[in-house]
Amino acid sequence: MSLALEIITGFMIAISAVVTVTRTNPLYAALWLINCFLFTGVLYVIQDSVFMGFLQVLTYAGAILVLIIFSIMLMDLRDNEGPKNRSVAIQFVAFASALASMILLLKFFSEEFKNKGYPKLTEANWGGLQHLGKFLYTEGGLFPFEFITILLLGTLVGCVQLAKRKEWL
Amino acid sequence: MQHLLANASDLIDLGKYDIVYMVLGAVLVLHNFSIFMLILTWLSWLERRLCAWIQDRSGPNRVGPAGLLQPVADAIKLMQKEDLIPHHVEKFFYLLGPCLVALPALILFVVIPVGADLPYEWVGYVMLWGAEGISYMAPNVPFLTADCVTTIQSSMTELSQFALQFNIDHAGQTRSLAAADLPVGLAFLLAIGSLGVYGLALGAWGANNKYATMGGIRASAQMISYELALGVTILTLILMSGTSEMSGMTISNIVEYQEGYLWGFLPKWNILLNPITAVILIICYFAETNRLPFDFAEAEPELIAGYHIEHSGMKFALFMIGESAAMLTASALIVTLVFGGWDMPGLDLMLSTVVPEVIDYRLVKIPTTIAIFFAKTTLMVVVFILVRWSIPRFRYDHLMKLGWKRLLPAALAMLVITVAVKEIWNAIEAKEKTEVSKISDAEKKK
Repeated sequence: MSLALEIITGFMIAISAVVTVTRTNPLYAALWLINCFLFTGVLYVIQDSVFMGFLQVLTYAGAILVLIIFSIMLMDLRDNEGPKNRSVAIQFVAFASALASMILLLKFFSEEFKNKGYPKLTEANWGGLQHLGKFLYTEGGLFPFEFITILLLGTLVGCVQLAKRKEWL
Repeated sequence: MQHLLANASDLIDLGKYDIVYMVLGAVLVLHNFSIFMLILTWLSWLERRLCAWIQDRSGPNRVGPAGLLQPVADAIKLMQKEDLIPHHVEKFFYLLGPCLVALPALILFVVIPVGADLPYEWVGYVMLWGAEGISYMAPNVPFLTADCVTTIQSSMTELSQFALQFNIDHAGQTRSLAAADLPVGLAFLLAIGSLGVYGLALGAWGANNKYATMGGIRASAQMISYELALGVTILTLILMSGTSEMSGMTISNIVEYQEGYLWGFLPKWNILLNPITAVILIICYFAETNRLPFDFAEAEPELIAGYHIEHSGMKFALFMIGESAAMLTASALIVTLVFGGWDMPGLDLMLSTVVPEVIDYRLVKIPTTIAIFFAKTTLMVVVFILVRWSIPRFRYDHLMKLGWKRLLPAALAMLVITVAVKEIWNAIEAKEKTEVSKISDAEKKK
């Protein structure tokens, strides 16, 4: 049962992601992105990590997407036909990323991966609040966690620096 | 058919009592939701009457006694209106907005415990009585063959045995009166609450009108700003009540923590334990529901009607219902988080004197607590309405300054202070305990 649900949910995530990048109207794209994030939350819930699921909805669907919609609404959308000049560089990047995802998919179906499988999630209450907190703050989860926060802070400073006018520098 | 059903139950892998839990959950959803909708229906009447009272008018008083049927008349009028869709709108978003706007507020109500805990044994008794009643009535029903009657009676005997077993297995256990007392209830509350802005913002953008778009932009910026402070205050409340291995951070955990007394006579509610955090929480909920003094999305003097300017008829009504539902849910959440939920000081004492010992006092306590909870919620709604006519609207930069420069730092500071005080308190208690045990050890030695 849960496998069937996982497959359906994964399918919905993939479809939403594809539809998101093919919309020309950015607000429709944002709406499909919300759909994608909500289904990702559902996937977490199916895999027994309910807290992560709701956190996913809270941060991505609830906060980040609101910011994106906020910025879309501030834009002038009269010309909503999407980018016209598709340069060679963009085509190259698209081709490369498609190739990379193909390689990743092939890896999933390879013998080595089949034998190893993904980590068994048999431990009771593994996605629960206490387990998650204990892992994040004691069992080696702390360094990547803190590192990501520093990375985000760096990105924030970089964005402010980029957006600043030259005469203020 | 039976074959199919057996296959389905294999697929879902139901436990022995899961079907009972499901039915119980459905009944609780229906029960809580019907009371909620009943209050919601007359909220517009209450608001208009209170506004009229404050402005020294009479308000709607013609339809029914004291104007009580006014909401019904309004609904009929709005439904009869032409379903107008202006030609310049983005049709999909224009229609999606009103559909989405009330949804988060209605969903949130499933995690709020509306009364004292329900003992599981009652469920077993209800099943037992139902089974006995049906098997007693079955022979008296006309047009029922003898075969049918015996089949019904035998299945009812099975059901009563099942109910007895259910009661044995659940002896002394209780269930929260929240329809779904999720172990991550507070995360659920923030997650679903944060989706509330979409209906408003998308509907406003779809209307393709400058005033509406301005309203939508303002609403989304405001929601994001105040969500941070709200999250921090809720984190403080979680830290105060503590989480346990079993219950996680359920909302009923916070309500349980607020039972009992402070210094013997005051109720141990969070608003008295940690008043600053509680006040920040209330302010944030005012901002989250887009009510005055934070109603920038529909600021009448500036944006005419703001986000719903292009919506008419039932679509407009849905926006209004969404606003009322958000206000009602926010009141219920404020009551649950900082005003002790269904708890009332002195309730147990009163019940023990009033209720004769033959009756299980919980039979009186649970309906009383439900009544107390909804009375408190209605009182909070009245506060919302009174604030509307007492405090004028902020200026937009004041709103942002209040959210980011006042409330967020204050909430963070209160978080740190609460942690420090709690740690010191725990240390003192641990020390007292060791001293008491030392004294008792010394006495034993003597």
